[in-house]
Amino acid sequence: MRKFLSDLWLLTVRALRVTIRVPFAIIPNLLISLFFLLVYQGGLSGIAALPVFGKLPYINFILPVAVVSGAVGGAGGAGQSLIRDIDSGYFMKLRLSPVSRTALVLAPMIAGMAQLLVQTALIIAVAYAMGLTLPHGALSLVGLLVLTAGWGLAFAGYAVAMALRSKNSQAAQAATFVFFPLLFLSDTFVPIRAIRAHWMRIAAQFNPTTYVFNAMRSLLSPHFSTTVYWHGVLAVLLSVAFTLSWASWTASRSLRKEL
Amino acid sequence: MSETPHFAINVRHLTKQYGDFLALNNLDLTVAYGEFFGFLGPNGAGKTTLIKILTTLMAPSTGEAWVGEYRIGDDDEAIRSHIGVALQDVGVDPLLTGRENLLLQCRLFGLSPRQSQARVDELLDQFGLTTAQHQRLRTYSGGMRRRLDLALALVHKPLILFLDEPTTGLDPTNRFMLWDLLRQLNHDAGITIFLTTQYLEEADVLCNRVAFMRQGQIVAEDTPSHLKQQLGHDVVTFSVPSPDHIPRIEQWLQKSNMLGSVTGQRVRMTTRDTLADVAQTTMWLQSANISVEDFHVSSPSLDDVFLAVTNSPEGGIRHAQISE
Repeated sequence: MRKFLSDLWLLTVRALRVTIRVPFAIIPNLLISLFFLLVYQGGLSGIAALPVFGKLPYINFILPVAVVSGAVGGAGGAGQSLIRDIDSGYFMKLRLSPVSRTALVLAPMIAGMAQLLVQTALIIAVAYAMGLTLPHGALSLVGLLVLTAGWGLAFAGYAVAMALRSKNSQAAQAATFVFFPLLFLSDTFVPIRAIRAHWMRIAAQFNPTTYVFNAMRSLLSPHFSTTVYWHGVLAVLLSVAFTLSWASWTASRSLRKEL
Repeated sequence: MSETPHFAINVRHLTKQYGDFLALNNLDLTVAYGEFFGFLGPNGAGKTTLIKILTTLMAPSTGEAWVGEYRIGDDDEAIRSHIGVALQDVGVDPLLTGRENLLLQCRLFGLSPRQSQARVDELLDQFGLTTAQHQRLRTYSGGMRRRLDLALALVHKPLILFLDEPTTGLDPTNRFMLWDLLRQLNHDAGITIFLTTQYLEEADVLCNRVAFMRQGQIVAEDTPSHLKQQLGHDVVTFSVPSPDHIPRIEQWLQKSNMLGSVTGQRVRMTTRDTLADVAQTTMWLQSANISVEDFHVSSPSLDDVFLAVTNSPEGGIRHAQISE
């Protein structure tokens, strides 16, 4: 256990150091999230006058979209980091050392989490400058960060599984396109009951992101609903359980001896 | 655990099968502690397969192997803690500096922070990387990366070092520099080295003992000098000025039952009776009105042993027996 924790710490610090040294892997993702925030707030905030929004400022409604898109991009970095190691031959060097196999896979995920929490904090700060209100103060903030970290972890599990499965940067990058249906087949811009296309309403009901958005919006609304929040937490937990199991299964297959 | 601790490497009846292809065929091999052992053979002979099995990356189909006192398959983690490995593809983190790469490797092998700093200083000095230690690896040359990779394999002072074609792609200066380092590691530090290489000159210069692989089996195994002695015949080489002469020379080689090969416009023949064969060859060349350049008679090299033991008749070179 001590060896595992020591390996996990060393490899996580190294993954963070490497992340900082490749700013081009972080900055575009952060900029895209901020761009979403700016454009959607600028272009769509007028619709917040519709009764369906219940007087919630549009910046409070749209912030979760920027946060979740940032989280997904940040967590995807975990997969990219593994791919970089596989391509450079460094992953093989680590496999030939007595390092814990679990730490080898977990470290880039933890570094990805740290990266997305910093990104989320920055996005919230910008949103605050644009008029975001936190009706429940620190609870809103902490609840938001917990959901973001959880959702990021779920996506990091997916990204790592895809990276280990494909061992190819293009394939791993292509796999992150799942982000688009997850983000946009949901109540992204308007509440679910205001979506006109029937098929999109159905898709949104099956999309776990919908429940994460709703939980975040509940935290940012004066009418906080515990039920809605726990539905969001449940969606996150189920997604994390699914993707981490998949990542762990893929890791055990790709790290075992060649047969 | 230990059954045969007297050997650094002990391989018994090892077989590796991929579908219908037999990569290793009932292989037996021992390497004593302190040896510099060269494992040679053409591409696809099974060298990399054996290295992968011995370094715990691959499971054998049947048979057993021990590295030091640890049995492959039972004690893989202990094996990884006790061996150093530098594969053909350099395994370094290009986004860290040389020093950071070494420090991380030291810590992953269980050295304390203080021990790690001291060991890294020692390795940087030994491998001539002190000046570049704080530079990221993108500024390192191929030779520097290769030296760093080797240093990474040595952080924990392993007793056994596996090197898979360590000098491939290096220019002569860097290759000779690496040879000196490997000699030091073997002679001065007493590290057992198991080396695969395409450069037979390298094996000749460095190794105490070599084995030649062919189709998953060892076909010759001895010291380089013994193998050359066993081949026993001098080698005649010469070039012809025009490729038009080559078909006639090949016909003559076949007709006169000479052991020879042709590469481009260069002919290489292994003699049985040096004087008689040289006389016969020069007479035929004169009668055929073929002028030659660079006519040399020399002692056989490991290249000649390699050609003799590893090439198939289909490859155009006749097989010579090496007695063991």
